[in-house]
Amino acid sequence: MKSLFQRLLILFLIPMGSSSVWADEPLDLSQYKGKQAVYIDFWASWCGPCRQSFPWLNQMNSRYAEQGLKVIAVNVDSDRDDAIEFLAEHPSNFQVIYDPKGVLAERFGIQGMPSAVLISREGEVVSQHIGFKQDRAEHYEQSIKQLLAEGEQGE
Amino acid sequence: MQLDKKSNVYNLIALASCSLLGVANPALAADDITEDWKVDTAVLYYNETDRVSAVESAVSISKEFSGDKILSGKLTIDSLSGSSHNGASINENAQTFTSPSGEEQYVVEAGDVPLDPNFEDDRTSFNVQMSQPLSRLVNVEYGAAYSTELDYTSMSLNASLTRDFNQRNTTLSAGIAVAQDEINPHDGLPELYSLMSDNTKTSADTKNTVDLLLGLTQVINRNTIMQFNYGIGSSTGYQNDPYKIVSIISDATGAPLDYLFESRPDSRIKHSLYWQTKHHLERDMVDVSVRLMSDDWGINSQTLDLRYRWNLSETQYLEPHVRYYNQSAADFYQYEVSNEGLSAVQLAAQYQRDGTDVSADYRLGELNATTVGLKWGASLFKNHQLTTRLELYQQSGNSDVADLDAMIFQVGYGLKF
Amino acid sequence: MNKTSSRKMLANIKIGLLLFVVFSLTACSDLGVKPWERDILSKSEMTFSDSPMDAAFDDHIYFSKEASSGGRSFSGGGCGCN
Repeated sequence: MKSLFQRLLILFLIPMGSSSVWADEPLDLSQYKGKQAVYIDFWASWCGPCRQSFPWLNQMNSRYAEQGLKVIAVNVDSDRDDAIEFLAEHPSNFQVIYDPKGVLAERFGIQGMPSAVLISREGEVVSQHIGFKQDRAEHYEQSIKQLLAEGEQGE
Repeated sequence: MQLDKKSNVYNLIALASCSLLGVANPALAADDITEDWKVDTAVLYYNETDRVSAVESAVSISKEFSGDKILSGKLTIDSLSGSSHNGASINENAQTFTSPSGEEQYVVEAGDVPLDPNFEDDRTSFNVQMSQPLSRLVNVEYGAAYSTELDYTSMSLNASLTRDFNQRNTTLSAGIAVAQDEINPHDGLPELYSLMSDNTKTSADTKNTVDLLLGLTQVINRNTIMQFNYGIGSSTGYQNDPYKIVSIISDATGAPLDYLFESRPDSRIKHSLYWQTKHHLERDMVDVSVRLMSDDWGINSQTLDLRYRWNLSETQYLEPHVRYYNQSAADFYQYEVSNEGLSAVQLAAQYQRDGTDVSADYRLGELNATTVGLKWGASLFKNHQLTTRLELYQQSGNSDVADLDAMIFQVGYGLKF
Repeated sequence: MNKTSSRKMLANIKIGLLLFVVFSLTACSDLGVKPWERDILSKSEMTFSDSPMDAAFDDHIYFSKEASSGGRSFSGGGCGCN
């Protein structure tokens, strides 16, 4: 429920193009702008590697939340029951939102599952990566550290 | 913790088997909680009415390593026995045959299908495969296989490359397999164009094959996927079945004069086209495939395979299955040959001079076969699967020698941990 | 097979291969689903490597009883993950 003024402000401040994101339902990213960097993870109950990514995401969330990281997991299951079953087996300590029609996935141009989108404190998409591989976990963590560091340098 | 203990034991097993294969040892990581092991076992019982029966058992183990590498190995042991068609034609006279070893004899009654009752074979084979990504969209797979039985050994190598396109909706694959076989019966191979009564033997021989397979897998829509493959194979060397004979029938009397050991060309090139479609309905799934094969021996075949997977629940299914197969005869296939007024020895000499190819192996003749089966599968606990299937196979050709009825019964168990 | 016909066959194979690759890449670029729509495709029954034990036994039986063999492969499909 953004006012017209806030929507126009966002239009001005966030450059148009593939690296920009719109503040809109079901995900309103503008609330994090200037405050937190956002790590969006697209997942599904049928995605095998997601079973490994969830424990790692839990770790990242606990480790970096204080430093300003916001983890949001976007579920793309067409049947929410499947997602809930998955969460029962792989609990999360981060926010989960539901995108059954793939609107968000389409907006971010997701190329493969799972996908991670890293958004800086300025609200810009800094990087995206496809897939989750356990032996690349350190690399993924590095990009989170960089994401958080960038925000601080801006101040 | 229970989980850690379990993963340590399995890692020790992995260490042992990996060192046998000369592969780098996997890390003894304690956080190995993912299902990276897969074990599959199955036993199959095959029984032809009045002919061959076999028991086959297999175990397959695969392990996933970091970096998405998968190593797998499979061991298969078969035991076959019974009566098998020796190539001769049915005759209104009783026929006496000498066994391949030349030591025993057996009699076939008038009007009966000539079956050699001494067929026996045991086979052991194992293969090892490795699969790993070269980049995000490219995967390579390679492996080796070895198979040995009483009179036959085969060694082969294979490699294939796959690449995904269009957000993984399209997959192109190219694979190659090369094999070298050695045919070495205990009592030697029959000399070319020799007669059963000659019992002259020669030493072992070999056969080399190269197979290429090009594949395209395409996602059609959310519940449909198709596969198109084109294969080409070349086989050179000893192609004969060393035990198969061809009846030389006297024009005058209609009785067999003698039997000639078969002689096939020493090379074979075959092409195949394969198309498979999997379509998922609301609850069930349909799987249809068609294969067309054509070779330079003159054999053309068509195979149609249909499966309907009836998902009784999330964890149980029943799958009826039907398969139709049809093939035309090889150019050199003959049910029996005429002596052309000559003696058996003279006819054999003529064939040798002309380099004539001839075989009475009904598997190279006109053939059609139907399989009807039912499979049941259930997931007992999470990651444990039990399957069982019963199939009836019926084959017929243009003579009674090709008439075959067989039953296939299989039980399998698989688990992931 | 004599030299001219084997050379012709080789040329035909090369052309066929080229057509195969071009056709598959162009005709297939419009077909398919989005990466997040692979729920049904990820079911094991929708993959081509679903019952490898059965397939291996069958291949061996039919290879021993008939004159044809092989034809299929196991790649592609699935959840398309990673």
